[in-house]
Amino acid sequence: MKPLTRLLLPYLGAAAVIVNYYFVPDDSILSKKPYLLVVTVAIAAVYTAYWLIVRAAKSPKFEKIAYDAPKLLALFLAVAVWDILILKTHVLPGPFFQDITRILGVYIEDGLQLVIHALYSLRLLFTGYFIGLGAGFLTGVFAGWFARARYWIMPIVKLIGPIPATVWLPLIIIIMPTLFAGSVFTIAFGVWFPATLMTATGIMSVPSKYYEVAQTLGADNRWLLFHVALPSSIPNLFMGAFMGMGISCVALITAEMLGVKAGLGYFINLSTAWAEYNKVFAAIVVIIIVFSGVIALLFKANSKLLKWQKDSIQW
Amino acid sequence: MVEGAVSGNIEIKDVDKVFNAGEEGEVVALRGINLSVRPGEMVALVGPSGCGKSTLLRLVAGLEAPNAGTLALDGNPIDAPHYERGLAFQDPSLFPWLNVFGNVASGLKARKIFDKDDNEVQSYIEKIGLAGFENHYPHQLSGGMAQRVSLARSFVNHPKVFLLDEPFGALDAFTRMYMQDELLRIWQEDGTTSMLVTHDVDEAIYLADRIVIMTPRPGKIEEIIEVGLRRPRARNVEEFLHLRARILETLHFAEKLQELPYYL
Ligand SMILES: Nc1ncnc2c1ncn2[C@@H]1O[C@H](COP(=O)(O)OP(=O)(O)OP(=O)(O)O)[C@@H](O)[C@H]1O
Ligand SMILES: [Mg+2]
Repeated sequence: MKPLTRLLLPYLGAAAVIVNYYFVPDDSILSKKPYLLVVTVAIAAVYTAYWLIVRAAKSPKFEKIAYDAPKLLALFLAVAVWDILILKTHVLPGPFFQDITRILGVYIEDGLQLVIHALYSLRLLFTGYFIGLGAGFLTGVFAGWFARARYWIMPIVKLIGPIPATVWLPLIIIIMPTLFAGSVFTIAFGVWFPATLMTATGIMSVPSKYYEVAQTLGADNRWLLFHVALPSSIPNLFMGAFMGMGISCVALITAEMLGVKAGLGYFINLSTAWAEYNKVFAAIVVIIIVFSGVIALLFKANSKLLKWQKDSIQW
Repeated sequence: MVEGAVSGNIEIKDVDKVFNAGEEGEVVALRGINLSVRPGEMVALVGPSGCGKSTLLRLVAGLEAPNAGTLALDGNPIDAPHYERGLAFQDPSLFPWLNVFGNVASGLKARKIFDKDDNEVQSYIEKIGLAGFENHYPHQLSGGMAQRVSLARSFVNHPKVFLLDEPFGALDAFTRMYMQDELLRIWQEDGTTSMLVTHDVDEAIYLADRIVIMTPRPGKIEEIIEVGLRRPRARNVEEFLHLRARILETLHFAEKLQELPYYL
């Protein structure tokens, strides 16, 4: 398909969304709010402006936009299908399933509330994540570098590491002074395990030839640790960081659902209790956006630090 | 021989090196090695694969300890690696996380004598013909380029002793000749005692003051040949060709005696 034809595909999708929602008859008695129209047109407008500018600038990104255009079409079609399944045919039963307009309504009417909850979530996530990552990095370096430390640390890591962090949660929430501290501890604990393990194995698996080269160049032990062992195990550190991020996302939402009185997990719980299922969906979308944003940031840092690697993982 | 060199005297006495090769038992890599390298001398080691050339360099570097015998540099026993004995490994072993500049500078940085304003690192990058590649990472280099970076990394550190393990093995014929002359220049400027492993007999004759011919199983010194040609050397004069025939004969003869099936 020609690039220009591909570029036009999303407009078909946008039209399908609008026509389907506003013009295909259904038995809904509520008046149709203009949210879907506004958002769809806005997305189409931003998209149009973007590709027009890129094309005018003769940027190679233009090809990429054309390449990815069908995905935007798919997104619009998914929205249309969602509305058909719920609103037009009732294949998916209300009130558990809510049409897109009602979900959009949450952002427009309760947007600030969602943002605040998302910020609470991020605060808890990052506090726990970075504490766990830092602690895991330190124990990992110790266990990887000093045989004596390894002797004691590794059995502990192997014993309690694989247990899901959330198992401890109910207990920790009681023991720790505040809910926040307890949740931070749980998340940190979950991250600590993969961070320790990956750091330690990274340092232990540095090819000995690098140490030998460095020694014949005049390196002391300190230099070997900081300028050979650590940089050489950075790919492993990132593996630990990725695995830890997955674990902490799970721990975060669990903590918020079990006790913490703020955050997206809490918001979902609360909305379920009030049978406001559109808020549940809205919050889930925010979770998707927040977590994939966080992972994307991690990958950015990864490829920035690992540009010396031939095949670092692409995101 | 670089005249006037006062330090860099290597004494290797009655050295044995035995490896424990697991199930197959022991491998005698070196047996009864005696070699004395004078300050500023360039010695080439030649011999079939597995005769212990790399092992001997690793012993002098201090990366291995002998099972018997002693090694010393200027009277000081060798018991650990030291920047005075710089080793360019058989495979370049560049630090993959450092670019070309970082790799060449790594010795100076490890010794905390790196000076940003001194362009010595840069000058060595130019000497190996890689100006413009300072910011390339090892995975972006060809095998021959990586090998030259590894050499520059050793040279810029100004050791008393160069231990060069097949330093030009991955280079094409022209780059190889260019690098040989570059090595001679650096060697003559610094008066660095050098031990050079090579599979190329011509290279040994072109570069070395003496050629040590080794034979395997167990690895030992078969013969030491004085080259005695004046520098700069021409590669096609009669003495050169004569020496070459003699060395090849010794190598070949030793091989026949061994009847090494794996070498066929
Ligand atoms: N770490 C080791 N463990 C066990 N055996 C070893 C080890 N290093 C070397 N050897 C053995 O010692 C012998 C000499 O090896 P060395 O690498 O010194 O040979 P070489 O002369 O450098 O050969 P090449 O020309 O192929 O590089 C070989 O038989 C090898 O198998
Ligand atoms: Mg070798």
